[in-house]
Amino acid sequence: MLRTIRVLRALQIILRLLSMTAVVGGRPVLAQTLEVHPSPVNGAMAGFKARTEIVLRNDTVDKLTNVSLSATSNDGIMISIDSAKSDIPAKGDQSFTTTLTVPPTAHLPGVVLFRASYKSSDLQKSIYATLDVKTDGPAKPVEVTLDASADPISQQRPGTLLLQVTNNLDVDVLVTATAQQLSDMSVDRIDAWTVAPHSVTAKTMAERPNFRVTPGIHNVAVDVNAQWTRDGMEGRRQFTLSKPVTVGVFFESELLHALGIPSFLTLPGCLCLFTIQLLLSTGVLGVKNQSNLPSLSVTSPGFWILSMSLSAIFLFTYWAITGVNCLITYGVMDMGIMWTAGIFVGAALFLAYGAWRKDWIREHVITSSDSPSDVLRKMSRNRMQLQRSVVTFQINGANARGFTLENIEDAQTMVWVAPHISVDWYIGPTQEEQDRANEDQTLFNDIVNGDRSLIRLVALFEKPASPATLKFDSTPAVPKPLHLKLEAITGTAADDLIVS
Amino acid sequence: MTVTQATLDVNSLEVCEARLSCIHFVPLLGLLRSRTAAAIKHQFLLKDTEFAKEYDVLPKDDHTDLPWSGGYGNLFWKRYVPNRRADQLWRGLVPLKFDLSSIIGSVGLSDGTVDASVFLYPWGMGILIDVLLKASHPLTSTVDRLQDIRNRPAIDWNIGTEAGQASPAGLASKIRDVLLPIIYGDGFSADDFGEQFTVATITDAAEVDWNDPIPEGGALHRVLEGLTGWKAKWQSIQPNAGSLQSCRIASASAPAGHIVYGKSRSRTVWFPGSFRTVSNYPNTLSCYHQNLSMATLHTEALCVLAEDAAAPLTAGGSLLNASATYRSCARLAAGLLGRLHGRKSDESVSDKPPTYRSGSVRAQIQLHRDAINKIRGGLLANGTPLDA
Repeated sequence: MLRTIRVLRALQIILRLLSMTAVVGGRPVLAQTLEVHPSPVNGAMAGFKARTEIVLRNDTVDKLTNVSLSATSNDGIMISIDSAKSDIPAKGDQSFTTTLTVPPTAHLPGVVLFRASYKSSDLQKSIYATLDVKTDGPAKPVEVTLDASADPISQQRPGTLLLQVTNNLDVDVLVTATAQQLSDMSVDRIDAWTVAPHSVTAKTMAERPNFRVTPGIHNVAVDVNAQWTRDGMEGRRQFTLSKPVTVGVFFESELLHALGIPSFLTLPGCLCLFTIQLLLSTGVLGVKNQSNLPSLSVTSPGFWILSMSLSAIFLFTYWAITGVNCLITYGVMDMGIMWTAGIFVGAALFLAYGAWRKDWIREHVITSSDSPSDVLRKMSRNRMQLQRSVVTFQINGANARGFTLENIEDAQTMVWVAPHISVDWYIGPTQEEQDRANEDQTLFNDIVNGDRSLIRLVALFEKPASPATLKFDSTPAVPKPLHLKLEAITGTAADDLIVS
Repeated sequence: MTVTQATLDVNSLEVCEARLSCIHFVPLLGLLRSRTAAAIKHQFLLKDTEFAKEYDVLPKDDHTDLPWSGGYGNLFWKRYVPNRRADQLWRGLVPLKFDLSSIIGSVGLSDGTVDASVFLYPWGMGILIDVLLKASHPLTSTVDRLQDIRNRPAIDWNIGTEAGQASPAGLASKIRDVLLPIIYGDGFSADDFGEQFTVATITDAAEVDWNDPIPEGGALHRVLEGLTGWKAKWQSIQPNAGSLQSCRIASASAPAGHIVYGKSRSRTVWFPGSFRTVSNYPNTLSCYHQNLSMATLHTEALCVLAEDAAAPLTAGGSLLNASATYRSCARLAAGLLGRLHGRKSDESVSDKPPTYRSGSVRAQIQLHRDAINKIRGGLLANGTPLDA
């Protein structure tokens, strides 16, 4: 009997052992499990609270006693458990309600470790489960975008920022937006507004550049705060969005583009030179008739050396007078003043030069309206010789030739040319007139045959009541003096006398 | 009895009078071109102002006179320079006629007369040997005789202490040698003679029907070839086909039987309607011959200057180193040659530039067309090229 009892007892132990084993021979083994619902927890943030259900299932035939649940987290998440110790019958289970609280100091995402302790078959045992606490789920609760036009904005042409808020939640979201203020521009404030569940709303914020700005790309930053309450739990998101915005001065880019100037900083110097060139082209004061003036085209280094130097003087003077440092900031009024000053100074410089050189120009510089005697007189004053080089060129598609009236120097782009000058001798009816004509003609021949002095020749022609009549002739040639571009010259002919 | 030109027998047609002018030009361009006037005896020749003054003092020293003195070529000069003021004469580059009477003892022919004239230009001398053949011979004999005179030393001359016989070219050469020291001084030599230019005119012969065209390749055509080609065997040489037309110098309103037959350096005038014995004005052909000869000589002189002035221009140079008078002469010559040549467009206008017009002169100028166009383009205002 005792032996039978011992055998039965042994069988009972074996069965218990078997019931505690998970899997034996491919067949599920009865055991205890600890389940966490929901798992994971999403949307955690500072101040976030969530409830979870922890279920301890007992699939064994043994009763579990002294069942208790504890939780711990290394991420600072606080857990409160609402149940006391109890027993779980065989094949039974028990739920524990827990509340998670995420303090501002918590580290997210975090993990909470649950431990269920119980006694089974006089043995103290524990079972563990973990819960992941995450900040966001697959869908963000709130999304915010910031957009702006790519066109430059200026004081006269302010721009707008477009703030778009998407509420993916099923509760209202209260949104507030505030732009961070910049030194060159301000962004208008907008009132807080509510975005309905699963809705999108957009708000515009006006950008207003200041009176003076530093032209260029500026980053506009907007702080956005979204708040909502769901199931008594507060949710909140904080965004800071930035957008590059091009800030400029009204009409500056159009103006610089039209003039082909790279920067406002070179504007006054360039305008100064442009004004001089414009006045040159109009022929005011006859300055343009000078062939040895530097061409100063926009592509030449000389132009930029001069224009930048002049611009530096302009900017310094402007700073000294107004205190505005245009190297840093400037506005449309500064641009207008620079524009006016550049033109005014250019015109003043030109007129001053023209007035200073007026007499010299009149006496030395050839013009297209010069008579043959004018040409010879000016050549004589310029110490030219009677013997001149002859060039061929094309004008209006026809071949022509002319005597150069100047010595061509390096970097010279224009040269005056003129037709041959012939001398007609008026021989009057009286003996006195005939003698005078003969005498002058003889002297003319002596000069041509001799030293060919233009000074003596001019003196001869300028005698009162000179019988000599000078006229332009020779074909193919231009009918009068012509200011010819050197690039139009197609060849040279042998030197010859300009007068005969 | 009037014979037709087609049936004319050149061996029997009696010629009473014929003229032959041999024209030479002695260039002295180097003297004029030099900017330093050479020390010649007659300095005025190298100075335009002095030369122009000479016109007012002519005749001078019984040596120099206006070229129309004596009446030779009067019509040519009258039309060439209607205004005879000194400055206008200079603008026409009118030469001075140098009287040879005190230098040449005699020149002559057994059957005619010879007259030598010299015309002084700033750039040389024109020498005209004018032969008047006055003897009745058949036409073929007259051509042979004129050939003899032109090609052989047939002219008797007596200059100073020397005497001899010479062809017109030889006589011109002799005159040149004698005159150079007289006019320019010792030590000056002339440039080479150009080929002489001849003008032959039958001025009087038996009556021929001048309305009858001259047959191509006929006997009369050979006569014309003989007096322009100056080949000794002219009677046996068949003229080139079409040469009667190609050698015909254009002439306004000429009868069908009249022709000025010309080659590059010769002209023959055959105007049977103007023969002395049939013409209303007996000297018509004689005057025509003189005017044509004078025009030819003056044109020859201008063309020589044009060729010389054009040479440096053609080579890409200029007249830079030429004297003032040379430049002046070259420019005037460029204009004068254009005027003498005329324009086709001038034929329809009444106010064409006044000058002597002749198809022969035009043809003579055409031979120097390139040079003349060169100086017209280079030296003249509106110096348009000559017509083709």
